Amino acid sequence: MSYAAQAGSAGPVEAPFFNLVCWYLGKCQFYHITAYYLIPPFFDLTLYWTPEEEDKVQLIFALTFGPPRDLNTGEVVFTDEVGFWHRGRGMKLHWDPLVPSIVNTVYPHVTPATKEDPFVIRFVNRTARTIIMDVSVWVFEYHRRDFEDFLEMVRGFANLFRLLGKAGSPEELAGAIRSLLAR
Amino acid sequence: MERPREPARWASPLDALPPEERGKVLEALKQGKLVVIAGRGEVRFRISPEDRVLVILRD
Repeated sequence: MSYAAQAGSAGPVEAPFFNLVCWYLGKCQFYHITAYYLIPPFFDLTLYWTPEEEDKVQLIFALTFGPPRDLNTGEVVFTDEVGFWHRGRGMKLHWDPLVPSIVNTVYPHVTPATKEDPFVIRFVNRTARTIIMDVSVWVFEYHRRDFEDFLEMVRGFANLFRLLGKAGSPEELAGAIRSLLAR
Repeated sequence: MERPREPARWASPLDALPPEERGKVLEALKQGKLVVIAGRGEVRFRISPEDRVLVILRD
């Protein structure tokens, strides 16, 4: 295996629209949670990821991975016998095996996690090895009221572009914008 | 741009843990628990069910 195949996620982690709201408007805070995950042999467990505080929303916008390794030997192990099922709001339950096409990518999300609507991860290890892997979860964290403001802004963008899409001519477009501004 | 060469075999983070914590990790793995080793700080997250996970927060 080449060293490039061992490398883990490559490329920038970018979320310009969220950055605008987070830093320019000061409506949320950015961080990432980087941790080692040690997955014992023959393991199958569903975990629920939430913010610790009731009044917070963690908008998970990316995952990045280091290469999965055998804890005892340090050897890089790419295999579809280890991985995780996961789902969150707006994301269907699906299987992510620890193979290069997943692990070597910056894995995008737009998944808000709250106490009552957690990010669900089912870790599966069908091998006899203990697998270790470092994972970074990239987050914008909002107070709930600021998250509602953010959603309102997203709705505004969606509605504006829907309106633009419906306009059949430049004149209709101008009329649609005028009526929007008059509201 | 060429990426830096990765080590063929990676060091274990367990080597850097104090012996008492390393013992806890190995015992948890023996009991079939997932172990998460993260930095302690202002970041707040919770993983449940807590009886199946050992979270080690490091300064």
